[in-house]
Amino acid sequence: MTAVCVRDLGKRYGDLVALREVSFEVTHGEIVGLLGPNGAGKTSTLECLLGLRTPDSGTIAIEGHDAVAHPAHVQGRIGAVLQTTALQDAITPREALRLFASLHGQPRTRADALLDEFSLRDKAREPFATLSGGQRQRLALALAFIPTPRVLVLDEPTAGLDPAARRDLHERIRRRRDEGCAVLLSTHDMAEAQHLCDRIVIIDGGRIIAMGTPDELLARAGAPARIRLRARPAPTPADLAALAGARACTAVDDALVIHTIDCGDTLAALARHLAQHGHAILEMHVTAPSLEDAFLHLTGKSFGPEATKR
Amino acid sequence: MTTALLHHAALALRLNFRSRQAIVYGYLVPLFFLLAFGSVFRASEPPLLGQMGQLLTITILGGACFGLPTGLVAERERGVWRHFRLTPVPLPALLAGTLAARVVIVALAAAMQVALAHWIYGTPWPAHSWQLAAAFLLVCAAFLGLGLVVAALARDVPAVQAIGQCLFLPMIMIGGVGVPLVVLPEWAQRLACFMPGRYAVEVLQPCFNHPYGLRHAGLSLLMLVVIGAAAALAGGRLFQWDTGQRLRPRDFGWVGAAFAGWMVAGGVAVSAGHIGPVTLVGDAAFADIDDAAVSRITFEDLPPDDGIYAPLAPAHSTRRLTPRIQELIRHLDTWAPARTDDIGQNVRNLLCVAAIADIGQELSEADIARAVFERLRVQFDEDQLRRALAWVVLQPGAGTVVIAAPELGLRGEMSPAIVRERSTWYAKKFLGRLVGTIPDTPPDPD
Ligand SMILES: Nc1ncnc2c1ncn2[C@@H]1O[C@H](COP(=O)(O)OP(=O)(O)OP(=O)(O)O)[C@@H](O)[C@H]1O
Ligand SMILES: [Mg+2]
Repeated sequence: MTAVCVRDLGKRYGDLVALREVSFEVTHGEIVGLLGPNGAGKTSTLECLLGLRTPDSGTIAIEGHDAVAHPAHVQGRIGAVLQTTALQDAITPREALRLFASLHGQPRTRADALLDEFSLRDKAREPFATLSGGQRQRLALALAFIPTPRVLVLDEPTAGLDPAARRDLHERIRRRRDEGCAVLLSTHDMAEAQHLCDRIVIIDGGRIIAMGTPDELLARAGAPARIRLRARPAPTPADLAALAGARACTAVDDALVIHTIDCGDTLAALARHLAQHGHAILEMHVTAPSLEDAFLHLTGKSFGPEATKR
Repeated sequence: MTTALLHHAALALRLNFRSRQAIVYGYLVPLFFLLAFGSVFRASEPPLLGQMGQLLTITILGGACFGLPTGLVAERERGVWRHFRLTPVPLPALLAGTLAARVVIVALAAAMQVALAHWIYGTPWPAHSWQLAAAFLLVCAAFLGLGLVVAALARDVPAVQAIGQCLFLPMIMIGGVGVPLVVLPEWAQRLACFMPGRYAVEVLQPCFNHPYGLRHAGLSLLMLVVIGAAAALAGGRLFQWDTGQRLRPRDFGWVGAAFAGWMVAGGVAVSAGHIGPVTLVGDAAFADIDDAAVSRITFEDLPPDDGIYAPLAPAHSTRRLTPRIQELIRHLDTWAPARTDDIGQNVRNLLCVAAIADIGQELSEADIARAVFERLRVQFDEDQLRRALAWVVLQPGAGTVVIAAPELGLRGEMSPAIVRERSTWYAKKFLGRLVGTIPDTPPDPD
């Protein structure tokens, strides 16, 4: 049984179509990243799944339970981090964790353990209002890890975390996956998605534009690797663009950048070419294709706030 | 799940006491009302006792119109209730926990008012504490439903203030809650029938100073149940856990239903003639006095029959009655104040005759008292008389008293308070003889 099965999800806010025909699945034991720019519809998708918003069309099944018709059936089945977590000003992390632990039927010791695991021990008795953004996010994460369900939904879980906390969180998410948990998380951090997720669903303007493992996406998008070269005397760009696998070569400052779809072939040909024509290599970098390039290729636009303009 | 709910309610309570605003609204404002009422009513006797129902109603109303919805809307705005939605505990259960915490918050404020009134002004403790507790819970239930409706109507926290005032102020000013019903014009009293506040006062107040507590507050209790049930139903249906939720047109039907409860109560009250203020002190009629109440009356420390106060001539006295007394006795047969529709009042009025004679130091005051006793026994059957006399004893302040009877040849106009006091003594003396606790003195030897 798939952990999460979304079919033809549609959601509109007044005239704005926020989601159309969104379909994807998450199975137990995998991490799926929902990747997209601001306003793409990530939160809308995740909150429909959590029963916090009602979709206008489509079906959602959580471990076989219809989440649209019976939101109550999925309550408590999903551990979740929402994009915005604000608790009462006066509540302390310890109180919040203990309250939610008891609401989830978990012992208070679990709440106290999570305080340590999310490095909130020295803030345990401070009111929520005085926590920093990252501390609040850590508390939100700790709350999501109170229940031990087999589905985790995390809306921008690493937002506001420092690098160490981010690394810890990735580790924890992977551990959960290895225990058989299905993890669905949203992010607009390409590197994070590429590095953490087993599969990625790219969403933009409310539609899914691509889906697959990071490698598949890169291959499908045909995104090129880049070889940046400085040599003396400088080769002509036209010569380099003609190398095996190369697609283009442009001069950037005093260097040349070769775009290639087959890095190995191009590098071999480049080495031969440089040796034959007596160019001495001053500097050379190879940049593997990134998801960002893939996104650019798939959508024809760069990944950023302006991408949301419709 | 029960422990989870207790946990939730206890935490809600703790958080309330950490909020300065909640302390000001929940405790300082009730304290202010207590002091304000105290400065106006401290001279009443007993001090402030007759206003405690109003004071507690204001406190509960404040908790319902402002405290509860402010807390709920603030939590909703922050998304706390969205997080609750993600737990396996159903929201209605959590809402019940929040309401329970609010009842405790309000109850503490009310207890503070009762205790401070006692210590500052010497207000007696409530006469019926258990009934007070029950009445208090009922009023809370009725008003907290309204608080839920306010929370549903308010988009944000400032809106709670605006909507809450729309409910709070009219009830305080013309609803018989702040300004007592007695001093309101008739139109306002009529209007007050359509507002729940007055019924709250009418069930809380008798628990403080009515000899029979809630026994006669049946109608008001019923009104509160109707109003509270309608509001709770509507408030429950309208509950929103997310700011994104908007009231749909049909939801306003539920808002209407909540206020329909007020209309029904008002309609019933007006058609039942329940418009003016209910006399809250000593209002139990003589007919409500039962044998148990009679049997609780004790006959110690009565002044002697041949003393200065409330003397009573022996039965079958052979003393010759003066013509003036004989005239008075004849006149009593048809005396109008003893012939009204109200048996209890008739008895009370006859007792006043003995009292006036006693206070006026009539020469034959003891004979007049005996004549009154004979008259009572002739005019009323024994059961009625026993209960009417007990009523006078138990509720010396009830009904009205006759303070002058020149038509009977009695001189002077007496103080009502003293007439009531002496009437009570005579009532006891007569009742004691009627039930056989006091032996009726044998005929005077001479
Ligand atoms: N409650 C709402 N009412 C109206 N429009 C909304 C609402 N929530 C979201 N939208 C709109 O729907 C679109 C998708 O929003 P959503 O929050 O799902 O995006 P997102 O992918 O989570 O963005 P971000 O990365 O900024 O969190 C946006 O254009 C947003 O303006
Ligand atoms: Mg979002």
